[in-house]
Amino acid sequence: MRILFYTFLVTVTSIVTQAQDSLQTRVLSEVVIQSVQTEEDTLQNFYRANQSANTEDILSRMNGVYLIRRSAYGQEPVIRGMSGGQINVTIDGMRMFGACTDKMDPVTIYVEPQNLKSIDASLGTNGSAMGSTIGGSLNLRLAEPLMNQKKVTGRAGIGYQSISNGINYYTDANFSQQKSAYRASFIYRKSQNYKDGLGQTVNFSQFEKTNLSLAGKWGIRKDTLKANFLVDEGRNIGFPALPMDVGKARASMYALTYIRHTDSRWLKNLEAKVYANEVYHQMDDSQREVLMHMDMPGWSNTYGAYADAKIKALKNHTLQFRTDVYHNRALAEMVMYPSDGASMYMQTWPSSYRTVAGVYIADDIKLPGRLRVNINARLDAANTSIEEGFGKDQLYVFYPQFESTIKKLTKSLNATARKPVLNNFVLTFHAGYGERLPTQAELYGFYLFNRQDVHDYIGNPNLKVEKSLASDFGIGFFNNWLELNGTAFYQYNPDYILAHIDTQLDAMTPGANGVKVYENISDAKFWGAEFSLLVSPMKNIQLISNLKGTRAETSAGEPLPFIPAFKKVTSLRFEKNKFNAQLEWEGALAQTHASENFGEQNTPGYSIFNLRAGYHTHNRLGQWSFSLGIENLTDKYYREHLDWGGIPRPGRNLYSTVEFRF
Amino acid sequence: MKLKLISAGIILSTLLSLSCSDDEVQINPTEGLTKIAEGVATTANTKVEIWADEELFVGYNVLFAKLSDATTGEAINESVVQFTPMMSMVSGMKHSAPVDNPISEQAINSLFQGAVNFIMPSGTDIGSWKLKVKVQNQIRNVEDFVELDLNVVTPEKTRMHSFATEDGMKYFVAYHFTEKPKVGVNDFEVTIHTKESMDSFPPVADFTISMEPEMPSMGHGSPNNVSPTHTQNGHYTGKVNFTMTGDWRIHLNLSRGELAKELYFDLDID
Repeated sequence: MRILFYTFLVTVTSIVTQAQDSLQTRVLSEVVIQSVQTEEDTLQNFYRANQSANTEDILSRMNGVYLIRRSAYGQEPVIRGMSGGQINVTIDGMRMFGACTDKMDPVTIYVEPQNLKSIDASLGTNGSAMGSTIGGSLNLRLAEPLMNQKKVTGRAGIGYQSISNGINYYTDANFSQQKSAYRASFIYRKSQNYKDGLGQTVNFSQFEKTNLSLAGKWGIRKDTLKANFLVDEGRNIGFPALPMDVGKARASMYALTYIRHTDSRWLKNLEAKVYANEVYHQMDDSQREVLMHMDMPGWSNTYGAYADAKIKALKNHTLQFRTDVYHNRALAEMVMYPSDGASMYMQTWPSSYRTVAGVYIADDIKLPGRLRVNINARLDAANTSIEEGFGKDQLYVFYPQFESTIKKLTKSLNATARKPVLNNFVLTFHAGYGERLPTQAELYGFYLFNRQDVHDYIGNPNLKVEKSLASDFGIGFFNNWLELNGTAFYQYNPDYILAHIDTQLDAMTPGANGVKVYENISDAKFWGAEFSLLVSPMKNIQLISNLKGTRAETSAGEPLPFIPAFKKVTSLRFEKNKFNAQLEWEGALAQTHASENFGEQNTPGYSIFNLRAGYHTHNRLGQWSFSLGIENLTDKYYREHLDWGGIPRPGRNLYSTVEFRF
Repeated sequence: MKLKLISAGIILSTLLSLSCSDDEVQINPTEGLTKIAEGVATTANTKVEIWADEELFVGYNVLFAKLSDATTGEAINESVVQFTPMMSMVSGMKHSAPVDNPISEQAINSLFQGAVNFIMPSGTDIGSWKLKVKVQNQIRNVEDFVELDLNVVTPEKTRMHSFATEDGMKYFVAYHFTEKPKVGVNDFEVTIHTKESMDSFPPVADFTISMEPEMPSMGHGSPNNVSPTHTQNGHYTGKVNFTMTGDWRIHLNLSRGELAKELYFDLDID
C-alpha cells in the first residue's frame, strides 16, 4: 500500500503543469489490479509534462518500447524487438490497421497527447487481452469528457520548434453538465524539413497534419454511454528513408461505448463497445526524381465490437471476461505510369478480408502470503480470405494452388505470480504462450518494395501462425525515496515469420536487388532486460532513469532485423513553486548485431542532452504556462539503430510553448 | 468446457463464409461473338454462318461455324465442316493458309469450332480472302460448300510472324490464348506451320520453344512460366504469367535442329 501511495504522490506532483483527466482514480482503481503498471504511469506522466512532447516521444521512453523511424512523423512501435503483426496496437480497445504497405501509418499517429488519456503497455505474450499476440500490446486510451466539473474548461497552446521551423497548435474544451459532458480537441502541426547535427537539411522530412476529436458522455441512471469520433488527416508527409512520400493520409474512427457500473455482489463492471474505423493512405512521388511515377493508394476498414466484464464470483478471485470480434478489409493498389505505353496496375495488397472472433478470460487470485497470481487465456478463431478475381489471379502466379480462405485458431495462456518479500522487495515471474496470425501483407503481399534491404516482398498464403513461449522475471525494490525495477525476459518463437531471398525470382521494382518471400523459419529467440530507477531524495527533486535492451537471433545465430540497440534515458527534474527544470540524458550503445540480410548497418552509440524549463502563473483569465527547451544540446550528429536508411536525427532544437487554461 | 462451446460457436459463425452458386442458364451460343460472314450452300440447302471473337486479323483466328437448314432454320448439329481459306492476290497469285478444322462432326453448343492462321491481310491493293466452308447435310446426305468473302486486317500489334530459312523453308508462327489474357496465370498456345505448296501449310511438331515474358517499360518479367511444348497439330501449349496490367512482350526462342529463331509478340493486358 505504501508503494501505491508513493506512486500516487509522484504521479500527482509530476503533473502539476498538466492536471490530467482523472488520473488519480486511474492509479487507484486499476493499479490495484495490475500493479506492474504504476511505474509505467509515472514514466508516462513524467514525460508528458513536457508540452512539446508528441505521442512518439512518450512511447519511446516507455519500458520495452522502441520505435522504427522512417521519417520525422509516423514512427512504428516495437516492443522488445517485435513489431508489425507481432504486436497489437489498439485505440480505446479498438482494433485498427494501417493502410500503407510501407508502414508509414502506424495507428499510434492518430492519438495526440492532447486527446490521449494514457497508454497501457503489456509486454510479451501477456498482452493478449485485446487480441492474440506474441510481442505485447499497446492500448492508447482516449481522453474522456469530464462530468460534474466547472461548466466549461479548456486550453489552447502553441509551440514552435526551431530545427524544423515547426508549429504545433492545439486546443481542447470540456463542457460539463450534471448528467452529460462533451469534449472537443483540435490539433494542427506543420513542420518543414529539419536539419541534422551537421546543419544539413534532411530533405523530405516535412509534414502537416490536423486532428479533430469529439466525445460525448451521458449518464443514464447508473450507466454511462460514451460516443467518440476522431478524424486525422496528414498531408505532404515526407519520408526521407523511403522512395515515396505521403500525399494524403486520412483516418476516421467512430465508437459507441456502454458502461454499466453495478452494485451487484459479483458483477463489478461491464463495458461494451461497437466501433468502426477507416484509413485511406495515398503515397506520392511527385516531388521525387524517379524513373517512373506511380500512385499507391491503400484502404483499410475495420469494424468491431467487444464486451468486457469484471466478475467477483469467488472470494479472492477477480475474473475478467472479454469477448470481441472484428472484421477488416485491406486493399492497396499500385499504378505505374511509364513514359510511353499503357499504365500498369497491380494490387500490392490484394483485396482481402479478415474476421476474428475471440474470448479472453483472466483470473486474478489473491493467495496467502500476499502472493498474487494472474492467469489468463485467450482463444481466437480467424478467417482470412482473399477476394476472388484480380488479386487472387495475381497470386496464382506464385501459388498455382492455394485456398482462398485461411482458417486459423490462435491460442494463448499466461500465468504471472507476484510476491512481496522482505518488506521492500517484490518478485514477479511470468510464463506464457502466445500465437499470432500472419498479417495480410505476409500472406498475400505482392511485390512490396522494401527500401531498407532493396528487395521486393512476396506473401505466402501457406504461412503458419507464429508462436512464442515467453518468460519474464522481475525484481523490484521500494522505499520512501527510491524505486528500482529490473526485468529480464526470454522469448522463444517457433515458426517465426521471416522473409528469405528466393533466387529463382526476379524483382519487379526498378533498382531492386531481388525478391524475398515470407516463410516460417524453425525458430527465433529474443532476450533482454529493462531496468528503471526512480529517486526522489527531496520533495523538489525527482530522477527517473530507464535502460532497456533486446537481443534476438534465429536458431542459426543470424541477427534478426528491427532489433534496437541498448537504450538509456535519464531525467532529472527540479520543481520549485511555479518553476520547473528538467535535464535529460538520452543515449544508446552501439548496435553491432545488425541484420545485414535486411540491409541494416551497424550503428554507433550516442549521447545527447535535453534541457527543459517551465513556468506557470495565474491571472484572472486562467492559468498560463510557458516552456522553453533545447533538445540535442550539443548538436550531435546521430541516428538510432531503428532509423531507416541511415537518416540522421535532428540537430540542436530550440522549442518554446505557451499554453493557456481556463 | 464452456470455453470450448463458446469457441466452437464463434468458429462456426466466423467460418460460415459466403458461398453462392451461379446456375448458369443456357445462353445464346453466339453471345459475345461477332458475325464475320454468312452464305447458303444451295445443294445441301444449308445456311452457314461464320462467327469469331473479333474482326479477323493477321494471325491465329478461332472461327465458329453455325449451320442451319436454309428452309426451316433448324440448327444442324452434326456435319463434316472443313475450312479452306484462299487468298487471291492482286498479282494474280493464289495461296491458302494454315488451318485447324473442327475436330468433331458434332457441334458443341450449336457451333463447330476451327481456326485459320491468316498469313496476310486483305485489301484493295493486296488481294482478297475467301473462305470455302465444306458442309454435309446428313438429312439429305449431300456434301456441299459455300464460299464466303472475308475481310482480314493487320492488327495494331503483330500477332503472327513468318520467316524464311536459308534452305527455302517458310514458317508461320502465331499465338493464341484459349481465354482472354488477364493478370495471373494464362494458358498460352503457339502455333507453327510451314509452307509446302500454295495449298498446303502443314503443322510442324518438332520445335523447341523457350518463352520469357517481359514488361519492356520496366525490364522485369514474371516467374513460373511454362514454355510451350508441342501437343498436337503444330500447337505448342504452355503457361504465361502476367503480374500486372500494361504492355507485355512475350519473347520466344524457337529452335529446330540447326535452326534458331528469336521473335516476340507484344500485347496489352488490361
